[in-house]
Amino acid sequence: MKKQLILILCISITTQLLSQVHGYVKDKLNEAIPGVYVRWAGNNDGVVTNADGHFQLNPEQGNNLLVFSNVAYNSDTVDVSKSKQTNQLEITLDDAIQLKEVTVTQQRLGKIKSRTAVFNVETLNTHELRKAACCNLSESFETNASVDVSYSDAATGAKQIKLLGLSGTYVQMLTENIPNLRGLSSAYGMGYIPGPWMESIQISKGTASVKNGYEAIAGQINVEYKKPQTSDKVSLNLFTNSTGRVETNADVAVKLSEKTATSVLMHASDEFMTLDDNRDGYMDLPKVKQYNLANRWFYNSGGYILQAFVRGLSEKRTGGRTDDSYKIGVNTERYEFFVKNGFLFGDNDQHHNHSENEPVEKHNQSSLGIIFNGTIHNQDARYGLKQYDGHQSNLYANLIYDASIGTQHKISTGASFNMDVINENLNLNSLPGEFNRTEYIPGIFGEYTFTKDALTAMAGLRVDNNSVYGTFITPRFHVRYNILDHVHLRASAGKGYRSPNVLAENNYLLASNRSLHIAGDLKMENAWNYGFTVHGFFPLFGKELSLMGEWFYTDFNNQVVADMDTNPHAVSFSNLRGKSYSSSFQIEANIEPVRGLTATFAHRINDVKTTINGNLREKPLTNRSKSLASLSYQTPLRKWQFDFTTQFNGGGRLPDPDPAHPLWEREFKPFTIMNAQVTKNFKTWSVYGGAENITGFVQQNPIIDVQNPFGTDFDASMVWGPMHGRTLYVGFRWALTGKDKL
Amino acid sequence: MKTKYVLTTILMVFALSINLQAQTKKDQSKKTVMFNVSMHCESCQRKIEKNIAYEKGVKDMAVKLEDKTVTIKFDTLKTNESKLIKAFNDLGYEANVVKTETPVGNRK
Repeated sequence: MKKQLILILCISITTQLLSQVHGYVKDKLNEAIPGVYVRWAGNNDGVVTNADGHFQLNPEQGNNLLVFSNVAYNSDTVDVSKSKQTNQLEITLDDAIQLKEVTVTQQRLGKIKSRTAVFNVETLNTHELRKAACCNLSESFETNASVDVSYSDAATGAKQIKLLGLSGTYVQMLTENIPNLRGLSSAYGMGYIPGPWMESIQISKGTASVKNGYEAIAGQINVEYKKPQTSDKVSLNLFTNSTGRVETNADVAVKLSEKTATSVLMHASDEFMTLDDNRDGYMDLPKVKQYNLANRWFYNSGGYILQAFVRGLSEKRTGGRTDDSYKIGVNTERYEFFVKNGFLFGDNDQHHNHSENEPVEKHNQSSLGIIFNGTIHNQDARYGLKQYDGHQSNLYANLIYDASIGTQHKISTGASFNMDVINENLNLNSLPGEFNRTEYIPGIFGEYTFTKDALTAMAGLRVDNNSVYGTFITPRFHVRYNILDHVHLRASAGKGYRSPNVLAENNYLLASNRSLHIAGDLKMENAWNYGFTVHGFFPLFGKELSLMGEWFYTDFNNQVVADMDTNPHAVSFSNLRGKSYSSSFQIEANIEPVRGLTATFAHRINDVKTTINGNLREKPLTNRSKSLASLSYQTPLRKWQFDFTTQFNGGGRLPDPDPAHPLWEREFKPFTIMNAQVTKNFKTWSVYGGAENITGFVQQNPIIDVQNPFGTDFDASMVWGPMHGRTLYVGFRWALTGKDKL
Repeated sequence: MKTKYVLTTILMVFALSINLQAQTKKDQSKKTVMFNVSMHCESCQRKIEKNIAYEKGVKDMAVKLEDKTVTIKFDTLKTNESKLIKAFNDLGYEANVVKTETPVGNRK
């Protein structure tokens, strides 16, 4: 079931016990929300929910309106006059930062009816993330059918993701709903987010909301870090594997007062073994050493909520020949901060004309969010004799005003400003040495959502002016309709744009001796994306079978096309001339056949074609299909957990080899990857161990002309399969949960 | 071939672990008791599941948030109703016995 960060307020009001009003505040995932400010309308003295989301306050004569507010969610006003007869109420709200629908439902015994978002969103929570080794973001999708992860080359260890068969650069990456990992960091950025730092990941296919910008083309992936106000007091994770990787993660959260909390997140990892199992003289995996430190703050005074985050990262990557005659080294330093300000305006006017059937009435309310984000990224890279250094500074500001009018209408509007300063130096003879670019992009946007019964419709539009590429318009539409209680339809159409960063996004190509040719007139990439999803829930032998079918079509108006076919010793980048599209069809089934056993089966067919040098051709190094089967079994008391995932990757095309003396095949064959993990949980700690790539399948001879790293045939970028065989790992987790009174 | 072999092994491990679970039902000293517990939300449910699972003698458990009930199967040689109620109290919840099922072992 697709879940999203919709907030459910679940209030249980009893008239017993000094007739105090008390209840619990939860979100859609049924997680308690601490730090929600609760007060009577028109009265500023309120209480804040505790770690269990519980609140309790004295009744106020003649006042039946309770106001709930928290920065991460829209404030809500609830009429409790009717609910004194009923025991439990449930209110579904949208959160303040990401636009979701608004619904009001009454909880019936045994059946909590929740509606899903208008977007095709999939959430991976901590439980899902813990099913696999999961060292960082790039490894978090092993049990996921939608996102493909692969090495971009055989030397740097950089991992890239694909969504809908399209490269990760067409997926807008967000952290805490702020665009991140853009530009220079796109090559190695997936490794910058340690697994244990993540609270959840949301994967959204197709163009998303216009609120976060115009860059989502294939989709959007958002990472939520652990929050100081909800995370365990202390948690520790140790990990090691058979490739010599050692990892330590620790975080500490401190609640300074009822309103203020802070946390520190730490990560250190190192790979100290030089691996060359295929004995080609090159390390199978580079040695990566990373230090990562973050501090975040949370403050909630009810009407105003502040979140601040700062982090620094240092990474050293060493690869190449084991005898050091050809070295690859990438050193990165990165600093980030964000500040989110949320102002909540409850509507305290007393027009509660609720009907008899709806005991809970939602009132008009609004919120203002102001977000600032900044990044400095420095990267020095060597690929043999080639040197590539880059520097990027980014500043981003976004102002979002959300207003709900009754239960049916919601309007979001705002303005954003983005600045990117990119300086790159490359010492290659065939190219000028310096590439400098500065973009200033002011933009405005508006979005309207209509919700009634089984229908949610959303239309958004934004206008941006890029100081380099000019003014452009981004329209996006989403509709969700429940044709039956158990069958939901979703459709979307929308446009997305992005500025190309050819060197940064393709710097792994420097691990080949292809000559680089970059056209001087590269334009912004832009595409329309259309999506259609059917999601059904069917009873089967007393269990619920969830079946989903989806089709996404991306049609590029302009694309920067990498031509590796015309000349096997060169790669040239130019604007698309002709057609380019991706058509991706996926079916997925989920069921729990036996208590504790969940099974997922999925199959996807990709048809990705681009006009390369005048011919419409299949995009190289792209799988034609992918199947996934994932089984997870938990013993009844959840003391043991067994996870198993297998992926079948269909074959695909390789860039054309030299017809005179071909050094590689024209196609790559299908292959299977299997991963398994066993977890043993104890009351406060757990141990896990597992194996990745159990069958040990590796791509044979991944480096072309491996003996001559300085010759013209040398190419480490022809990578389609795993570089390393079976990897065994073991890890340990410990948490001091503040909630336990034991 | 190798792939098939690995796949079969893993499926067998899954089947075995489920089977082991089924076998414990044959034990004689097991008793199933339903408690009424003053819990209100999913995080209370998780807290109970996480902690009561590690109480001595607890063999199986089903928490129903909407009915506010926790059904526990336990080993009568290792624990009893009042010890379990004490465990609930320690977590900050009121609990009382709603009904007791005949020991599973005597059923067939």
